[in-house]
Amino acid sequence: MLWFFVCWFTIAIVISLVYSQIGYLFCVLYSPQARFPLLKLDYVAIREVLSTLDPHDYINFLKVSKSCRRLSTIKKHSKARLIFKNFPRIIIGNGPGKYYVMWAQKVDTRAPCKQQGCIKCSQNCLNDMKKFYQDVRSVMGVEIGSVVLHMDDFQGRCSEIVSWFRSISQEVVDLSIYGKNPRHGDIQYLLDNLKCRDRLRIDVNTIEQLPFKIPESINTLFIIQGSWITLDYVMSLKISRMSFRNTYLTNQDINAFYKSWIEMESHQNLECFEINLINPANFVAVALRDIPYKTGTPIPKLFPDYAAIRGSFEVTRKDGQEASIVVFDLPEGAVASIYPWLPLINTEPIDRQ
Amino acid sequence: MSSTEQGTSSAAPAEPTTAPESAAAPEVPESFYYVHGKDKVVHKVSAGALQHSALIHGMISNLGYTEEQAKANPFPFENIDGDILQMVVDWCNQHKGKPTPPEDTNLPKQKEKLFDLVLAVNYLEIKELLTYCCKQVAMMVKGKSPEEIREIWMIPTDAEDEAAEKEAKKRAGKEAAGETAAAAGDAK
Repeated sequence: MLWFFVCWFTIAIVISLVYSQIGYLFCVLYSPQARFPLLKLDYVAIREVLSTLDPHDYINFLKVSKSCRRLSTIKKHSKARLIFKNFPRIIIGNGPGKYYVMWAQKVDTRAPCKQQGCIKCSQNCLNDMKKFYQDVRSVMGVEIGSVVLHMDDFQGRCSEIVSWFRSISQEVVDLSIYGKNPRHGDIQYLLDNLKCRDRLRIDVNTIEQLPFKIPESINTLFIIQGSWITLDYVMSLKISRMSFRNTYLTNQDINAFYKSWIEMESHQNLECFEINLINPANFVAVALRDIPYKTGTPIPKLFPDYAAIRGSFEVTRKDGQEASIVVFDLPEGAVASIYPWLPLINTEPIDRQ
Repeated sequence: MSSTEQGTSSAAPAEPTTAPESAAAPEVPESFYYVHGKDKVVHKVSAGALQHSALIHGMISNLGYTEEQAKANPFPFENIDGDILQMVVDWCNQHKGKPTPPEDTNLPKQKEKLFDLVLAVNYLEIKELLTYCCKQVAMMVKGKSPEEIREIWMIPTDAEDEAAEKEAKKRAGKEAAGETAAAAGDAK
């Protein structure tokens, strides 16, 4: 009798355990609250959902299946900005929709990832950033829009960055180089090997203070630490938009440049030439000496951030092309700009691009 | 009637300091329209609230639907569940004439409800609400692995997709063969 009760009790417990497990599995796997059939949504709704995903989640979504990868065509991707510095980062997109991923050796893991970005903990930040970009590129097709290199953080790793970069991209549209005391040879190596197509910004104080050989393919050049720049160097450049700061070029030098443009001896494709003034007080007397001009009023809101010190000086080239020369008062000091009146000129100041 | 707008008028009174002549003008009563879902329960919604739905707004303006016609024949949305339509109507009423906030915390947390809501909102073309709902759908997979995303969003594996494709082809082949046999029978 006792044996019968023990058997009966054991069987009852086993059956109840089995049923509870089945019930649990059913709840987990088939509960409507647990899952969401995304692919049964309309195309418009799927696109809206995918456009809201951040790049990490989007990459993981594309890795789910071939049908997910086919859906990648419905989302437009903007270009990426790669910033090589102590904490390297990638910024994808522009404006409110932009998203960044940064790598650091120590991250407070309790801090939640922000909606517009994420910080990843890594013992090899540079390698992880490169790997992430390769993922982003292969599954999302995001190309590189601009590259920013902080040389002080990557002393001795220039060739590694350049060779990696050359393995994934033919050219850079927009290149910025920063550094306090890099070697001139390293910067020149970058300029020779990273093919820059459009805009180049150099903000470096090299130890040697030697001139850089600038690729002629670019349209816009902005040199911030220009103490080594000479008039001959400026005259040798064949770039349509140039901006220089911290140079020792005198008003006589600037006068020579303006006269050369007016006489059509150089820079016939000039769109903008901007240079710091060592002596703004005698700019008109010296820089505009022997140059016929009419005074005018600066085009309002041409450069919204720039405050013009006085009215503009309207000059005319030998072929009739007119240009304005305006002196602006900027936080870093006075600068003089000459910009021909071109119908489709990009009127954005060079240093604000 | 399950509307919160019954019998009220939201026409803004004219400001006497800036437009004294319009202050004397009689207030234009707000017009109302009627919609019903699968459960046939009719919801009364103001024209202002319906502005959110590009579909209904288009029906009203393009088809010249008057309030009387609308009362007699409520807009039928047979493909939308009654409770979902109620949610949509409530949202439209709450956000009538107001700038939409960046986040909306009143959306359903249950995934089944959210799925039906996305379908309905997409059908009714309510862009702002669709954006909120889709943000919530995207948040379901925040920080999840590909396998977890597959689970949550019920995405078939490549093998399952291939099997389904084969099955569909087989079925289409059988149907085509059946049609050919039937056509041959008719010819005889």
